[in-house]
Amino acid sequence: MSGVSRIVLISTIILISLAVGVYGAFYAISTGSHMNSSVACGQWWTNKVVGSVDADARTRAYVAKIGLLALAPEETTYYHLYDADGEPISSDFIYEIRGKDIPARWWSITLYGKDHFFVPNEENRFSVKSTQIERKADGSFVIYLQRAFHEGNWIPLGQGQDMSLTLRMYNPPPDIRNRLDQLDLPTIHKIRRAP
Amino acid sequence: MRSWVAVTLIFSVIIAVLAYYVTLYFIPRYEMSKVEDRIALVAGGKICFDMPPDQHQRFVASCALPPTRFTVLAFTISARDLYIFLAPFQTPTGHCRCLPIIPIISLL
Repeated sequence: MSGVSRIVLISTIILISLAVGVYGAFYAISTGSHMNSSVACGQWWTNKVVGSVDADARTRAYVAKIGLLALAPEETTYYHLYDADGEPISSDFIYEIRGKDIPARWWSITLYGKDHFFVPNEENRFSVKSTQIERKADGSFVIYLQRAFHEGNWIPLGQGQDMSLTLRMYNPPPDIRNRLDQLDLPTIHKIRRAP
Repeated sequence: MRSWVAVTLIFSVIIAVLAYYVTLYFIPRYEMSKVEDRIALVAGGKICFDMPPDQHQRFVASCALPPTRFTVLAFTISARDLYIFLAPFQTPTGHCRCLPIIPIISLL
């Protein structure tokens, strides 16, 4: 093999290797919601190491992509929900989120679009908070997730597909890290197609 | 010839692994560099944190600085990289803090 051919071959291999590495990094992030350190709790997903020194490079890059930063675990535990009844959340449908109070000093459930930003809507309403939510006599609640106005706990769906919900639990119980998969979190169900 | 192929393969794997981790290393820094774009996208020039009314005070306390007109807020990305922002202090108005944020320095 001539010197020129060898240089071309080595350059090609280096470029391919670089491309594989860079692509692999972005691919790893694209599947970041289900990382090794992820834990499922019903329909929700959380991550044991987000916001801690144990977070690896992939986790930190994933957090940076979807939300810039994460608070330390003792401050906030985050859960994410990506689908309802096995299908991505879409503004074409009406959903109900049913649950009872969540163990935290303060909590909120926020809707995000595919781009991880709020879903624009005329009411500028993006979430439901523990301090505002309307509860039934037994302490349970229902949140309506739909485009059209609904009395009570309502998060407007706006327009979009592949949306997600984030549950933020501020100052959860200290032992929560040991039972992240055992919490009684709200459930979401698709009710019907929106008119 | 066989050893040359082996060396090339090992070398290419090392490059790919390095490229993988270097990319992951720079993604948070790149995202932070875009923070002003994100601020503009989020809420007309402001970034909103969905947090309890007193959570902002907790950050202030953790920085050991008085809540004067301008307050330094320190955030970490996964507790390893420290970013410090200067943000005009606002009285809590409800569930959502809206703070114009200016990144000052990052200690990597």
